[in-house]
Amino acid sequence: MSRIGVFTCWCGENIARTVDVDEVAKRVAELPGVRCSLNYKYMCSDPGQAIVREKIATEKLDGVVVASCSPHMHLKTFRKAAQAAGLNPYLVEMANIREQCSWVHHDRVQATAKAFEIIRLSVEKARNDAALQPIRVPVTRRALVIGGGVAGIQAALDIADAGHEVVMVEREPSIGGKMAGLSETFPTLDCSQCILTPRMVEVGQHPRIKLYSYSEVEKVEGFVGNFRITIRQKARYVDVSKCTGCGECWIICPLKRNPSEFDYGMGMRPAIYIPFPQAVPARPVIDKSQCAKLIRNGCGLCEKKCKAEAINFKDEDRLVEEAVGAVVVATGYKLYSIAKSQPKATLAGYGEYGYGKYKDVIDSLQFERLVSASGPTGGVLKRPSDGAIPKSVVFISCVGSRDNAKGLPYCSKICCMYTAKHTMLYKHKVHDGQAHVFYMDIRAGGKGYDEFVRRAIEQDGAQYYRGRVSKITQEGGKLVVRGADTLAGMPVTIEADLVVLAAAMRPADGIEELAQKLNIGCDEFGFLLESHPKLRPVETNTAGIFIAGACHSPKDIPEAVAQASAAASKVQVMLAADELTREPEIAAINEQTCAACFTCIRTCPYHAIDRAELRTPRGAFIKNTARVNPGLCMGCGTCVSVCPSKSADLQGFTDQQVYAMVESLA
Amino acid sequence: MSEIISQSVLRGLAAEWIAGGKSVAGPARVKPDLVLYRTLRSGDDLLLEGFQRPSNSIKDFLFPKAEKLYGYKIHGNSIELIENDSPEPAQVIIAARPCDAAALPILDHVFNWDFHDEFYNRRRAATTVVTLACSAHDENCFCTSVGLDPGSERGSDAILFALGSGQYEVRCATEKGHALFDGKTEKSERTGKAIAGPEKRFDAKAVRAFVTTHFEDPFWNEHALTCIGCGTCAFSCPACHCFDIVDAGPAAGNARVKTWDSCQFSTFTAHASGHNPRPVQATRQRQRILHKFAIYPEKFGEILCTGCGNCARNCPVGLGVLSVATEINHG
Amino acid sequence: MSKAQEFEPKIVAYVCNWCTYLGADLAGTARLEYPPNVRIIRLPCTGRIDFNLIIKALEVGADGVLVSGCHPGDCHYTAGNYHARRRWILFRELLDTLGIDLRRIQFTWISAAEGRKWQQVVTEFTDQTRKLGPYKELYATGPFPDVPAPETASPGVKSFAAESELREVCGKLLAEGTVKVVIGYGARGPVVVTRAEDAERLVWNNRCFSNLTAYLKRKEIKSLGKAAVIVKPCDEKSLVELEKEAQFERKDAHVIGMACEGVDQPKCAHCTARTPRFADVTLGVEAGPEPQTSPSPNRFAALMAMPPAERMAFWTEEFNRCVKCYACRQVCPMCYCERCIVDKNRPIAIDPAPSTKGNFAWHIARAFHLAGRCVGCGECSRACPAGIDLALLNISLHIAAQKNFGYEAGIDPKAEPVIGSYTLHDTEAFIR
Repeated sequence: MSRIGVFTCWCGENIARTVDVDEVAKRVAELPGVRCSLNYKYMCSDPGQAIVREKIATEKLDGVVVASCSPHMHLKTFRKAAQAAGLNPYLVEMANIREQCSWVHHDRVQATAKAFEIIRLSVEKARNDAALQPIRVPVTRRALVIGGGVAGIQAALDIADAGHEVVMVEREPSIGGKMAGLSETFPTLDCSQCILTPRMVEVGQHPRIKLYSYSEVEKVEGFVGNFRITIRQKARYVDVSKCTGCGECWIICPLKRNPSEFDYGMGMRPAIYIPFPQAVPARPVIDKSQCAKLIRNGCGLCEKKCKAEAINFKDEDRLVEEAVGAVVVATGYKLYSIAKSQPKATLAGYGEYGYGKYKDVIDSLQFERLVSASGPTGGVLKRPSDGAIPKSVVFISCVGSRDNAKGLPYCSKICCMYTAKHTMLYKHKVHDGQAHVFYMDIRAGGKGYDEFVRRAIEQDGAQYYRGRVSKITQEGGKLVVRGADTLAGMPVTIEADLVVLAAAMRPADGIEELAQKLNIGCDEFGFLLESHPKLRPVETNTAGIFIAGACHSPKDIPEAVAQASAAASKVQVMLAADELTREPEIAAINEQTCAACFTCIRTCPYHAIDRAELRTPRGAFIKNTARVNPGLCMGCGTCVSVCPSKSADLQGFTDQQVYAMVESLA
Repeated sequence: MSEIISQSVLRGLAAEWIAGGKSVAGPARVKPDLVLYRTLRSGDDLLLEGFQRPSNSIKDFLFPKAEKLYGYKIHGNSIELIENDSPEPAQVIIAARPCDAAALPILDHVFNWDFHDEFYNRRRAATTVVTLACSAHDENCFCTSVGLDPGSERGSDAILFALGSGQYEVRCATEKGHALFDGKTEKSERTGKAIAGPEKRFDAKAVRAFVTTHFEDPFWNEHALTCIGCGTCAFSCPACHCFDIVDAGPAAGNARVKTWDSCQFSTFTAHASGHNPRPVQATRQRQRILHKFAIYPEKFGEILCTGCGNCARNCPVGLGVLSVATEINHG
Repeated sequence: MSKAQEFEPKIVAYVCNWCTYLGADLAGTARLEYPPNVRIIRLPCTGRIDFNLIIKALEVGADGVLVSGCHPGDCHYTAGNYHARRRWILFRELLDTLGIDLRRIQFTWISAAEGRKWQQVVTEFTDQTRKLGPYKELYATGPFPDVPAPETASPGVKSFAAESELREVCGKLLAEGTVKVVIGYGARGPVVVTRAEDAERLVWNNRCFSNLTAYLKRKEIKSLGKAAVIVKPCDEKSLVELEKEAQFERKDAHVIGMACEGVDQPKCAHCTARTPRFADVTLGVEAGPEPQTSPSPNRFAALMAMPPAERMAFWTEEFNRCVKCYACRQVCPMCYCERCIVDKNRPIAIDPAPSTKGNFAWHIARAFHLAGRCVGCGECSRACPAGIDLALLNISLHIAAQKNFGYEAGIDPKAEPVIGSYTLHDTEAFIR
């Protein structure tokens, strides 16, 4: 028989006014397993807690029920008090006779009767409580950052500056991401590279950041605190440890007319190249699809020229393994492909805009390169077809965004702002030019954002039309843009020299595969899912994996950076100690009786249950079983409900406890 | 000279007994293809012909599938036990098969051996068994192989023999039997006779000899491979009497209850440690045959089987005592 | 009747910790008065609210059961409520089939901000339950119309043409050592054949009732080596589900499929699976009676045509005959737990005695554990020595799974099982 102490609180008059606390305490004393029952004016006060502590000691209590307010209010308080008196804190239960009794009932007799039954429920639970120990999970105090754009850079630097090692994996030859290719940034019009490149260099030189560029995450194993990451280092054909980045190779390379990925095809690069001059690492790669040596064993000039003997045509992909405790995913975005042919059947493309057909119809990132001081035109805005300075430019926003018919239903959020920026940059470069903008709505929420758009319209004279463009045709060297001005209620036709399409933001290629490797969720568009939209915005449903930047949803730079810092701070909390301490109220599986149907594995929202084998101490196979990973389980108990043999149970809310509670109502 | 009774009088008697507060049980059609012994609501419920035998047995009325031993109440830290000593109403089991009635002496031994089971004995004392001798047998019947026959009076207080055209000869074997029928029957010259028993299917002595000497034998394993381990054979057997005692919690009325158990269940011998001395179905099948043909006979001098064939009739996979015994006997 | 004597219902509420419990707290903080009948049992998540708990609440005499959690999209554990919702959709159908009054069970979403909704729901549910009165109909017997019994007329043994071919194939498999064991049908029932010469014992006729896939789980048979199993097209479906549940791998068994001419079971009347689909080898030619599109008599329709109280009376009558021999469980190919929930004695979720409550709880658990898994072999009904037509419960859940989720057990090996998955669009018309 248990030795439960029941402590009924008056809460001043809050409870005592409607509940006869003396009567309740008297009746509770008669309940099975109750050792002592008393009441006091304020159980949560210091003297109140002292009574609990004293009774635990003198009555040798093995369970405590405090009948007072909601457990959400004071369960922690009384658990601490019990712990101070040497009682396992998980042997404490609360009976909520205030919020759910005295405050909602007026009839003293009824409220007293109900309070007694509420306490009886809690006594039954307490009688079946088990002493639980917090779960401790060892932590590898290193972090992995996937993606070296501005979000990844921010997260990596924050974590590294806090004293933890960071492994950064970047798919491209250089970190920097989309931001490295931008000209100026809204709403301040400061130079993107001026802000970003020092941060890139910091990453490159940071003693605690290990950078894998031109690499991808191949495999993820393990769980929170204990991930094993396999990284594929793609063959670069340049030995980074020998290379000095002198540039002789890419100068001598005869195959110079390859469209530059960094310039989105607006410029050219050799077959051996660094994506842009400020690249980190400033080490070239050889494009094996273009290099004459690699294709047909010709040329080889770079190898001859390289004094450092860094060129290695025999290079192969290499797999390396890194152990980390936490992961930040910051894989960024790509643009919606505007041309008619689409990789996804659900997206229809905008063939009527002639993108890919007319050279002077470009997307917004291409425009960024054309107006960038470091771009292929040296910052002089020349149109791609003939290099002429465009005197009339049409900007079309929402290409693919907010379009249920052909594109994506969501708003890409940043296009309104960068389109306004584009009109300004254009006007600043071509003073006699005219910018026209077709838009659906202008969404300029943000610090200084609406003022910025007003400036584009009022000071820099951009012409805004609220309406869609129906067709673009080419007539005699001009692009004829036919659209509607819905505010004026009339059609608009503009003869333009250049058309810039603000294409929708989509998650980067390969996001679904990566999400699968990491066991995290994506929404229907491929954007990664946060654990809770309000309270856990940078966590995922897999403990130890965090998200930052545009891989989560369309974001501008400040937002991406803020989220990256948030994710970094979550990582720092995790890496602050050698062990993670987690609440022990989690699921456990009786592996002897588990039928290994694995319904629980399908059901668990946290992927916290794995297939495992039960073996004898000598290693002989006995049976298959499901096994809970205490590092991941959050304690929802959904597995318990779907387990047919009831081999799964939830500590703190065991079947034994819950049935005892219900049966006490018989 | 014999005593005879007609079906209609018999039904009328049953109705009288019911009206008089007796509980009357007998064969009744529950579904088109299912006849069970059950408590009759009226004399018309009683089914006297057109079926081989009910799927259950009359032990249901003496050793019910669940019987409350005592109730309990918890006060503070003490427990109050509430004895279940309510007197049993008098009951009549009518038209029992001889193979059912013959099982009662078997049960009597068990429930009065080292422990006098008051629940069983109370019911037994209050029960009168009226048997109806068989007028047919089927491929599952084997009473003759275990020393009984279709007209066996063992365990009966009275026995009825069909005379045709709805008439039965009544032979009362005990005081209880006389109490039921004296004055209710007519004199007649006609005497009834049970049909000839089924051909003897196996030699029980040989079976006993085999099971006592072949404890570890591949036979058991081979024979039990298709047994699914349910309790149908034991529960429909008139003589099987294993029980478990379970605690029914507050939801079930705070009681300690005796329930049927079956040696074919894997949990039957499961130890709390997880160890199970009868780990596979073969060992459980062996136990069933061993108990029926060796262990019980050693203790009480008779076979724990009346040859009713219910085990085979009810077995979802066509097993049963008969097939095992014949295989043993004929190799 | 004076106020003091008026019936006061007992209401048990299972609520999640993060939304509804806090919603109830908020009602307190805002001093929103409501009737004192409800007893709250706090659980972390609706995902933790097992159907057994609802039954247990009714067993302890609750006149109403309230089940409440976070609104869709708000679950503290992201998906617990979606999983719960899916189970409730199916569970309600089962309860309805049993004749349990669905007005006695209220499902609702109440958020932490909805103190007022908590007040309203509790008030209205208490009032409604008070009007309904004590739940006397539960477990009550009473008159009910006859439910047509399943037709099991068997006109004697009729051997099928493929019998000799079957013996030949099995003999060869054993002789060549392709398999060590053949699980097949013999004259009296299932047989396990290990010697090539014993293949002559195999039969293929209209008495081949058993679903032999149930034997694949048996350790004694597994230990003999690779098995060949003879399946009818209907039995074959259980292999699909067993494979999904990691109980069976195709490489472990040689599947001999028999084109089926019907085995005189109720299911045969409306069977459309006449040819095996996945078997390693298929014998015989499809023949037999044309499947009926509307099987008659439709015993399930007849059952559902009764008012709930009559259905309850029907099932009480049926379950009162149950002796808990567990033939239904043992014969079922989908029941493979090493320890059945009914054998777990701490806690006792299901009264192990064959009492009315215990039998209801057992058959509810058995049927619901088969939700979306039962392939309709009907062995449970056939095996029951008490003649309880248990398959009716499975049919109810089969229809529910098909109607609500387009899922039919045993058909598509790739389809995601019904329990353990969910969609955002699962119906919740019944949830307040």
